[in-house]
Amino acid sequence: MALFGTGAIKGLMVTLGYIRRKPFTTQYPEDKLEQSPRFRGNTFVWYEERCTGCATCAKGCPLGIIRIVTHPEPHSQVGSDYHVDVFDIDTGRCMFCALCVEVCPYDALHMGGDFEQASYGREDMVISVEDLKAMPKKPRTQFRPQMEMIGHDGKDELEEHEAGRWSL
Amino acid sequence: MIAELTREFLENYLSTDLVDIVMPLLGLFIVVNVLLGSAVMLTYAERRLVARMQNRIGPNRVGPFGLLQGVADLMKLVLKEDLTPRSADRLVFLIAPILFFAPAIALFAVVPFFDGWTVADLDAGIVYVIAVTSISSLAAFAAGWASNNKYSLYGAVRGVAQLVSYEVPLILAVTSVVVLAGSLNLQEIVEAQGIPFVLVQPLGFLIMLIAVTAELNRTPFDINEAESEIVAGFHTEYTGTKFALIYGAEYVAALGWSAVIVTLFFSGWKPDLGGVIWFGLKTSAIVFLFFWFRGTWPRVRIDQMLALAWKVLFPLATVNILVTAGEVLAMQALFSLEPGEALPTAALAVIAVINIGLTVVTLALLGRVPGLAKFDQQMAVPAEARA
Repeated sequence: MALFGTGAIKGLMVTLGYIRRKPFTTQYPEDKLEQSPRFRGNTFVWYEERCTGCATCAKGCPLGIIRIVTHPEPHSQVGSDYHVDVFDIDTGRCMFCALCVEVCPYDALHMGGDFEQASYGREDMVISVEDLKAMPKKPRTQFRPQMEMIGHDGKDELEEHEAGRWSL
Repeated sequence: MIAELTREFLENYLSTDLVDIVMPLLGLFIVVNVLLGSAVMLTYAERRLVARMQNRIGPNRVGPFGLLQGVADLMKLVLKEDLTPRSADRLVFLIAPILFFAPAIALFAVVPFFDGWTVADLDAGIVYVIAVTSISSLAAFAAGWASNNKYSLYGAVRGVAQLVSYEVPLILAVTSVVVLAGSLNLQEIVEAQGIPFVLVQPLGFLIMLIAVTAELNRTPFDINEAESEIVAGFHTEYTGTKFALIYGAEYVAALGWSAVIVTLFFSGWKPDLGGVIWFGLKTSAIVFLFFWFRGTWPRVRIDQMLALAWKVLFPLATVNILVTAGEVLAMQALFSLEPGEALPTAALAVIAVINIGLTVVTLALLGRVPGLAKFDQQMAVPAEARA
């Protein structure tokens, strides 16, 4: 048999206890949340040495926003080795489904973990070959869980021989 | 003391008649400005406190610790475009925020900040408080009606139902204090408190606290601006300066009612520990109570709200007046006092013991009513939320 008001006071005590707790808030620009290894940002990691220019990623893209132009390397047989001239990914329209990453037969394309890519124009959202080459080689393990087996958590740089199925 | 020094200073420059006019205006100027400043800071304080109760940090970007957040908000609101809905009743739409703000400020005219520190020391001060603050229900209805918006009108109708209902137990709770103090003058009510009236009138205090929470439209009685149900209730259509007035008025009114509660139940500025600052601290403590309520309790339904007012608080307050009046008469006979003479502290202590006992019995009886017990349980934060 409780007095009328005990429930109300019980509630008040709960919130009073919360005042002493440390807030959960992460103050974003200064602090960032810990990212999971399979986190997808809006950048890509591309290993030029692994890429054959087969353009499977461009075919796999549901939005058709990847454009690849290649030419045969001068000293190789036609059809065996291509040089990638253009590799435009229009991230302004990308939905980051990572299907291009999934379909890549040579594990050359990976999702990146950066997300602060705001810009003032749509044309700035297109990632070019030069951008892809300059990107830090820190692939996320989205669709590449085998990279977790060698202890990769998306934070460190990986060499091209480590970032794929042959490394196992 | 400060008043006398100021008067001497002014008399060097002005005639005595003019000083008599200037002095109250000066007092008014100080009170109004301190109030507006506090209202701005209170918005910040509430957001920080409620945030901490919800494990958040709250505004901490503008100025040191975010202290200038209120100023930034105010500047934003004042600079905003002033929109009036095309189908609104323009004149009433314009007047309503002013009508809302004015009584909140006017309330402070009679509040005794310190011994002799009152802008207007009215004989019927508490009647003035009740009369002035009931204007806000009219203002809320005017705002809701003039907006010509169904959500505004819902909010306004709810607001009127609530304010009219809670005015009754509020006035009855105040009456029980008046009966004890034997005066309507707030300064005299403060002086009559040999022991703070919370102890002498615990039930009266609880009724007053609940009624004032409803009167201020604060959680758990914020059904007339319930944002999850009716957008923002009666002030849905308000923007810019008009919204700032309505928003500020709620905080000024919270401050005003807290000051009145301190005056009536916590012996006002007594005991003299640092003058106005002591009064300010007590008032802040009551304001904190309102913030605490907001951080804790869920909003009540309109039927629960009306049932609490008419079925619980109204009968309790009525019985409370009868009991208090009987006790005062008995004490007057016991201590052989003249009618109207202030009760000595010993008499107040006897009444306090009786009333605290009666309050515990009342709360125990209320706890046995199934509906009320269930209502009370809703007010406790569920156990799973504590993890």
